[in-house]
Amino acid sequence: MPPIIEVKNLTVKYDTRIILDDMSFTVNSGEIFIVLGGSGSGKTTLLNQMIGLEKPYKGQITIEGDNIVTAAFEKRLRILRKIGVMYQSGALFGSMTLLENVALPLEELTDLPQEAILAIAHNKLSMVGLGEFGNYMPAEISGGMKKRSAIARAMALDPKILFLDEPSAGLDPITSAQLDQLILNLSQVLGITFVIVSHELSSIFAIADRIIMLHHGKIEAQGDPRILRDKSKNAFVQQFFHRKFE
Amino acid sequence: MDQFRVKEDNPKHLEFQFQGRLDIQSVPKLWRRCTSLQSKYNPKLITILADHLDYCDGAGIALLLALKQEQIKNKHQFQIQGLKPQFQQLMDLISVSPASSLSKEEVAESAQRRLTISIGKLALNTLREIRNDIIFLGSLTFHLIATLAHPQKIRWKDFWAVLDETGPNALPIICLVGFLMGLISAFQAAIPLGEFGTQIYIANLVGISLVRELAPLMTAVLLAGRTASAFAAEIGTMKINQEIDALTTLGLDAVKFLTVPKVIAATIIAPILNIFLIIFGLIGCGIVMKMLGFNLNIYLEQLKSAIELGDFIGGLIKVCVFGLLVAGVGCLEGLKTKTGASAVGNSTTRAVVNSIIVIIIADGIFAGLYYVLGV
Repeated sequence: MPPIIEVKNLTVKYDTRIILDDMSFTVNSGEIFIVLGGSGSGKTTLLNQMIGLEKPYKGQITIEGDNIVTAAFEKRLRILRKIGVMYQSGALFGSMTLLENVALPLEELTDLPQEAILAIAHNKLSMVGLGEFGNYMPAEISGGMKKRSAIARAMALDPKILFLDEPSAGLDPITSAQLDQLILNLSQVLGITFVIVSHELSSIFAIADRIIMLHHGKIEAQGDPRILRDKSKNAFVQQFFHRKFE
Repeated sequence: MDQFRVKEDNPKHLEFQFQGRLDIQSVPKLWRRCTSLQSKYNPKLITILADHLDYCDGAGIALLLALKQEQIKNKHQFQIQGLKPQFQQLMDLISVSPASSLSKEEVAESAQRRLTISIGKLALNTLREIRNDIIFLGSLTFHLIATLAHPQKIRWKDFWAVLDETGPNALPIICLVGFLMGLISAFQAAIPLGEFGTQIYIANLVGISLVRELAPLMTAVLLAGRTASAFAAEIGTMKINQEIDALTTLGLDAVKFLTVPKVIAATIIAPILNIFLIIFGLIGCGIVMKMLGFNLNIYLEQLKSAIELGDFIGGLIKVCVFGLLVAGVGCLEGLKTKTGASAVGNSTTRAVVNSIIVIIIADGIFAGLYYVLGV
């Protein structure tokens, strides 16, 4: 089975500063793939490249065989329909209720009748455990609920791939564990491929099928996080997993 | 959807057979058809035959659940046959909403309740806002008096920064507006006064109206547009960035820390700007007088005889109060900033609009007061 995402020779530069350096990797369909690395290692830049928010200096990123870097407008829209994104802050629209937030992509991008849109939006909120909070405004809910709502909105159009930017950041361990369980459920039940940017070690060991570790814009290591932790000889990997610094 | 069949020979028992894909592409066409059949026959039992259903996404599950909910609401039965386990698991993830199974009477009642609740919320919010305005006014007055009693306590760095921003930076526009107002007023007066051969009194008319009314009012309106909006935007952004919360948790009073230097600076700078506006207004008027053939000395003599010190002082007192009000309203609206992308924009708009309203009200009070005092 061909990989669902393929990143080939990706190089990103801001002026002369190289942020991502000739990076190549693949993501398989249905797996939970985590991009790991310290602050400033290029994780969020890589995410922004994969969701088409930024153009690389060179290289290509294909999603189900379509190159998002060079795709023309219509094709790009088709690619974007296959993905959903949850931003670190949730990025919910503050003037809309949670239900309206989730319903928005359905209203704008489908021909569904309004009652169907509301039913789907409600179902998505129920999936993330917020079925009863549809009429709340984003300002009225907690950080963890905002993140779950953002996942519900990202899932509105049943994407094949969900990109999550630091889902555990700023959450307490219990809420973080609930979110991890939600990701596992959605992965197992819906078969969604997850690409998650994170540096929360507990989450990574709980949910990741495979990780790549970024360091100074390069892939330092990749594979099963548990095997990397226990067997890797790479100094950076050991420092990162065992919280050491020199 | 590759194929959809309905068995409707028995109205008491409808059978929907789905084949192929039940997804976001096929559901829009099927939704109305299925739900209208359901409401047409109101069947005792609906059976979904899903043996040949290859794929079902969130939209498909929503359709199945909507049919199920309607059956449950009508106390009728619903069954699905042959649904693949992964789709059944997907259905199980979603709980049936109690809200969506409300009866029509319950819906009407909840609409009435919502109306009552929203009226109550509006009244409460208005009262809360008035209370907060009073608290702000009291706190500002207290801190202003305290600062005047102990001037060394003022945050001079902030004070000079605000003074620089509201004074010298506003000067070009103040001078331009003053010049044009003097020029335009003189031109407007020239025609009617010319009919009576009394164009010399243009100097009296423009001079008195500028000094007593137009200059203070225009200075205050310009302050509202430039300064009140800037104060509201600055404080509003601080509030959104939780900087006000940080001040509070540091034990600092936001009103004292942020508002007092701004209000004092605006109150001091307003009369200075007012004087510039008057000077440039009189220059504009002087140019028109010169064009009408009057000597500059005659114009100045006429001004001297028309404008009394009381007019000038009265205008200055007025503009000081306007400056204080404009700065106060700007800061208040900034502190009232809520959350969300449009919050700062809303605060800025409210700061300008409310400042102008407050200026006009204050001007009306001054007009009555000066009339009674004979100023």
